[in-house]
Amino acid sequence: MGLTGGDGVRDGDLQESILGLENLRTCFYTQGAVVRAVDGISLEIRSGEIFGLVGESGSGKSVTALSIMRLISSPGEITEGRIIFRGVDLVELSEEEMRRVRGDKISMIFQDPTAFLNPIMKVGKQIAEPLTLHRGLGGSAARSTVLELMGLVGIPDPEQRIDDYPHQLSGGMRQRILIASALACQPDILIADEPTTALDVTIQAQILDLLRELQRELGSSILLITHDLGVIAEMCDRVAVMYGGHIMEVAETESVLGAPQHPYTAALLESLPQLSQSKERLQVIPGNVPSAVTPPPGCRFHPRCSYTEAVCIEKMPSLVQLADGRQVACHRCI
Amino acid sequence: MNMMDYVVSRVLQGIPLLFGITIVIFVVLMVLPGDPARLIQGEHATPEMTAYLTEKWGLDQPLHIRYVRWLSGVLRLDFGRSLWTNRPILPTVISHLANSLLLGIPAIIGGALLAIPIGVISAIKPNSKTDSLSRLAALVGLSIPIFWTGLLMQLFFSVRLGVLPVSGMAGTLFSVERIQSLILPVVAVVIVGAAMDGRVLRSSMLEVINKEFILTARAKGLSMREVLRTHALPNAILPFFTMMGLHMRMVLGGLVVVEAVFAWPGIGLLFWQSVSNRDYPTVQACALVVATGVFLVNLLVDITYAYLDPRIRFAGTEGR
Repeated sequence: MGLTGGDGVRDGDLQESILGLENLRTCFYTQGAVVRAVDGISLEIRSGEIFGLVGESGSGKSVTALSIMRLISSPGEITEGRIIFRGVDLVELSEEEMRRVRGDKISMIFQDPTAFLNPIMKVGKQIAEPLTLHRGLGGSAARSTVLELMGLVGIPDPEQRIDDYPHQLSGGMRQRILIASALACQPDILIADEPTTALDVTIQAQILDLLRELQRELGSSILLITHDLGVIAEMCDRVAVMYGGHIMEVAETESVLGAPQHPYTAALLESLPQLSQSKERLQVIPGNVPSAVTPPPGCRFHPRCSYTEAVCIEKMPSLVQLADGRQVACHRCI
Repeated sequence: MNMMDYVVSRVLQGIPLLFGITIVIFVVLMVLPGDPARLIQGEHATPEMTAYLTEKWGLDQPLHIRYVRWLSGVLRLDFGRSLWTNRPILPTVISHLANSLLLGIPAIIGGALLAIPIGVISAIKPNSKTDSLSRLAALVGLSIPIFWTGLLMQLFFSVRLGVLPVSGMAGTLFSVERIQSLILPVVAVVIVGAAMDGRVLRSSMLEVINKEFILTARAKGLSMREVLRTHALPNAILPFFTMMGLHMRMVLGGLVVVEAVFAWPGIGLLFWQSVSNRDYPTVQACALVVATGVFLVNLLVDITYAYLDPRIRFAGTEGR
């Protein structure tokens, strides 16, 4: 199979939605309390784009990703909403049917490549698993495809490395192994959950470059989850800003980062260190991330927002589309 | 490090260890109270006979002379003759050891085979009914003394039903009688072994199931069954092998209680009888043979570990 044979992204495909979340709600039931980790979000990821999902720790990014994979385990549960992938609602699929989607149509890579690789299985075998499972490849066919994949993700001397164990490789190489395994079946969507957080800064850049390159070559869409606005600026076509289980703003990366409309996005950008103003103190957003058990009424951000009005406390703003195409959930913009 | 180098270096390390053990075994026995020369004569001991035996067995010699004499015999695999039966010791020790292994190895394997499903099922659904039941069973298995389960089984299967022999080792190897006489003692050991192994496997399975790489495996589309079989169990089985080693050491040391209850002529029983009889040469031989056996088992466990866990096998080649 030609792994590099993809003809890249055609402009016409860019507008086609490949994955849509509609009012997705995922809750965790813990000792009498219900944690609404993802609280009714709607998103659309288009074919061939890199879509960023940015937010602080605990804002619900990873839970969103695991919900799409249907890998939320007890005591968590998708309680509401739909996940439309190529016209099919993933929430409605049986576990059996969902397994055929995972690793084949939608695959996922994670934060810490060391923890997310099986320490006592050869890396080649770990890459080959989805090929064996979804493509029925075994033996030498699987091996040659694995070697091809290892070359594709930039592992030098794949022949030497294929029978290595994870601890024999560096962190960056381990993440490349996870990427190779996730891309083995040329998925339509790759979900990358903080793929560079556990890596050295120099390696981070290499991995991001690799992801972008592979995305161009294979034409997959990427859902890139990060807390790092720098990564978003570098990588993403469009971005959604998440806060307290809600989507605050969705738009093209340049417009979100260049002219944020939501006060939270603006505050987030102001809190970034800037080289030109190194002497000044960093701006911080006052207050704390809201509790997911007892979220504030109305807009989740109102206790920390400098524009709060009465309506913000009373009513939760819905995500509305502005004239320039961006979507914002803020009463000020309506 | 090369596997062969590893094994050779471990064996070489064992030589001073075993040498030290010979000293300990010898000295400890010599300072024990009780005079074999008197004991063997029973109630009608005479001072003359005691003096004669003391001289005959060399018990009047200084300790270091006796040690050197004993050690030089040991190095020629000559442990002397039993003070009690006057038979050569080594063949006796070896046949008793073989009997212990005949009882112990099936028991260990049986316990492990029982423990794997118990451990896995309780780990998949922690705090479920199955888990609670297996926890209770394990508690019972571990709490009831092995001689008690042994006696109960004898009472029921041998005395009441009369289907299995009460005790002793009957028949020749692989004969029906031999197998029948093995059943009760093996089951008594299996109960304890399965209880211990099952708990160990449950906790290591639980730990592994919550590891991140299990999520990776599931994200690839593997079924939970496959994930358990190919990812979780191979990782969880590692501590299990430590348990196997521990059990094996127990068997080598003789399952004294089980052997006593079932009159099974194993090394534990021989050990116990020899100590009661102050049959020093036999006790020494038992102790040394067992120590050597334990050393070999430890070696085997370490090699198995290195084989199963590449992180140990490749220690020192990291970052090449």
